[in-house]
Amino acid sequence: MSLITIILKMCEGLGKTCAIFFLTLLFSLPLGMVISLLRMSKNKIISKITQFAVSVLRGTPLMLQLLAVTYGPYYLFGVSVSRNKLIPVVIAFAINYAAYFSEIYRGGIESISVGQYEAATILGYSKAQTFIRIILPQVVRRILPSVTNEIVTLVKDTSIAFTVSYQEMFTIGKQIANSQTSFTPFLVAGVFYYIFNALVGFVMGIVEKSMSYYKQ
Amino acid sequence: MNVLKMTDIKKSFGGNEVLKGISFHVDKGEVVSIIGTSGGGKSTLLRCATLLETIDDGTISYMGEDVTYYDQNGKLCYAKDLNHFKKFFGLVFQNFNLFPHFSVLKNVMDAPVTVQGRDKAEVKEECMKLLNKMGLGDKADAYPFELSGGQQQRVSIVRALAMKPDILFFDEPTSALDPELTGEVLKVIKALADEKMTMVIVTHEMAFAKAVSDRVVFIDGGIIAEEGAPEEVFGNTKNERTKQFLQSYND
Amino acid sequence: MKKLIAILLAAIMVLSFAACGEKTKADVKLKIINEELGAEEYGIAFRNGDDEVCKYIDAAVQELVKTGKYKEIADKYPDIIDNLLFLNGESKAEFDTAVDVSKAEKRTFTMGIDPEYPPFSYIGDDGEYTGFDVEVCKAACDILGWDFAVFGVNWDQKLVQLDAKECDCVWSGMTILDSMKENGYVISAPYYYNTQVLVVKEDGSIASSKDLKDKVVAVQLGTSGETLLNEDLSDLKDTFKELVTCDSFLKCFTELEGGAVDAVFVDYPVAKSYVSK
Repeated sequence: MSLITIILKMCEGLGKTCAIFFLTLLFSLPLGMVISLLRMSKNKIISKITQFAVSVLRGTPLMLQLLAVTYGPYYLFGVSVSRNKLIPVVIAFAINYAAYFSEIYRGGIESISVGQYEAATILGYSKAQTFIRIILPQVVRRILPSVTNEIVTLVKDTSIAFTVSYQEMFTIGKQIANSQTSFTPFLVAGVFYYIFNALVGFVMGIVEKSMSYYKQ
Repeated sequence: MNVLKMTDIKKSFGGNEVLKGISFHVDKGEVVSIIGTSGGGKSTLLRCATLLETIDDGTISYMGEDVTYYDQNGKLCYAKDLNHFKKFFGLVFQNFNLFPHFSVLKNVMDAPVTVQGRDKAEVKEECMKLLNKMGLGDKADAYPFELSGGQQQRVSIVRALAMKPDILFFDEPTSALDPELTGEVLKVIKALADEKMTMVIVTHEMAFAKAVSDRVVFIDGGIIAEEGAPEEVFGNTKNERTKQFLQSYND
Repeated sequence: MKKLIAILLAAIMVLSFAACGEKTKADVKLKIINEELGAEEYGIAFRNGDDEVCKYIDAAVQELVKTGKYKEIADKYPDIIDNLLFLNGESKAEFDTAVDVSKAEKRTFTMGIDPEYPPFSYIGDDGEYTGFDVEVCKAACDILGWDFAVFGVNWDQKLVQLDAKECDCVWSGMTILDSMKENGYVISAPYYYNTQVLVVKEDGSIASSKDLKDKVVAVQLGTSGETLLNEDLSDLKDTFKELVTCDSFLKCFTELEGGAVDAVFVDYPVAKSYVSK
């Protein structure tokens, strides 16, 4: 098989890799915020349950969660397995990454000094206004490096989707490698991931720069 | 009329009674300095007055309107709409607590616009006037980290003033500043006093308190140990604790 | 922007290097030692209750054998042709002659394959799924008038995916295990006779399984070879210095060629196809 064929074939999967990547970010970034707010809830029960859920999501392999989300409903309730694999894949990825993001958010939110809240309270900002106008922008600035880290990991984690036969780029690469007894597809995959992450780094660099107009 | 009236305020933190029944009031146009030993309760009193802490017992009212009341079971309650009362006062923090991600102008303009819903152009004009008055006109577009401590504190005073409060509280406004920067902040407060701004200042600057205040309150051990005109308190105090306290400052 | 261009250039360099690298790989000669270990048969697995489907497929395959189409396909895969039971006359399977392939109801038949298992099922030079099993299934579907589809299973999860109706059968050089029948899967007539063989370096000192004492052996994860070594052949395994499990046979062979292991324990057709390359 020619190198061009290998690259073209793997590019077919690249679209799916991108789909996992962007949809996971789209859902997990806000979901992580919800989880972190639940985690910091004054209600002890809600907070404890959330803490437990996050510890399960962070403490078990994503591959296992992916299997559970994809095949669990079928085995437990006889619900037929989704024909479109992107759905369970994105659900599992989004929940898993939301758990990680929630802890990053929590760290960021808790690092904001009490004085900021007090200043906002005195000035009469509502709780929501305080959070959105005063706290969140500062949190985003602080957590950006950690979030970038997670995003870079996500790019590489997309390959885990092979577990449920979702034909993303790495799955196809692996299949070609074994079909053609050649390591070339793995090299191609490495180059693809590297370029992908170089782009991620480039974009996140711009975002970080746009926020560095002030110091804490 | 009392701008602020607090009666019989009690406040404990985990069994440690910090305020043991303090009654305190401020009249319109009055400048009151609160002095006292660290941990004596003066900052707590200020935090109770500005609703950052809830009191255990007593009453608070602003402009004759009650912030706290007792229900039919005799339980102490706070009024539902606390934002209504927050309009009456402003607070200048020891650590400024400016919003680091807002420019100077945005720091002072944001609350009047978002919280009070006032016209943006009008607020901007007013705020620029205030900044100019404080000698910060050229810093409007700067960010807090680009300013000195004294400048930051002056911005935070403008931020409080922009809300048009009836009374302004200062919580040790110069304690976090380098000695050479305290002067510029005290000058600003003095100027406000001359304009008859109603103010309560918790401070360690005795000379300043003496110069600027209409009344000085000495808090010690959770009670008001002495209060009166500055000449009385600083000049010929009869109270032993006050004497000791002032002595330690003169040393 | 400069940085991006630099990265792209670097990527192109790596890729062209990769393309050349194919030819520069050290040319290690390998040989197969076949001691007929772990004789077993390949078959097709269907879901519990799908006996009807199984009968139609069996009948269609027999039809292919009769018309010579089966032989035609098999000729393209010289590495496995000797062991095809329907061609070498060793098949003992009996078929339900009452099944009429022309009466099959129209449907879509999704074949579950391991796309990483040449020559039975793999990605061909044109990038499409192909292989002996794939071609036979396609031809069988033509006879039955069924629409043919392929689903690439994750081999570790193949039966889960079959249960979950992701595919209608697993047909991919799969060894029939007793446990499959015990668990209710419907199994077709066996079509391929397989043994586990050893692949070693041609110029090495290993001539039989007896020489494996204190050697490092590699086996592919989840294959019947691995099961065999852990069960029936555990005595043999105990003589090894170490048993290494790789998640693909390609990695097993690379370990062998690279000198990390001394022998690979693998299915005969896989060994034949790899060694003849």
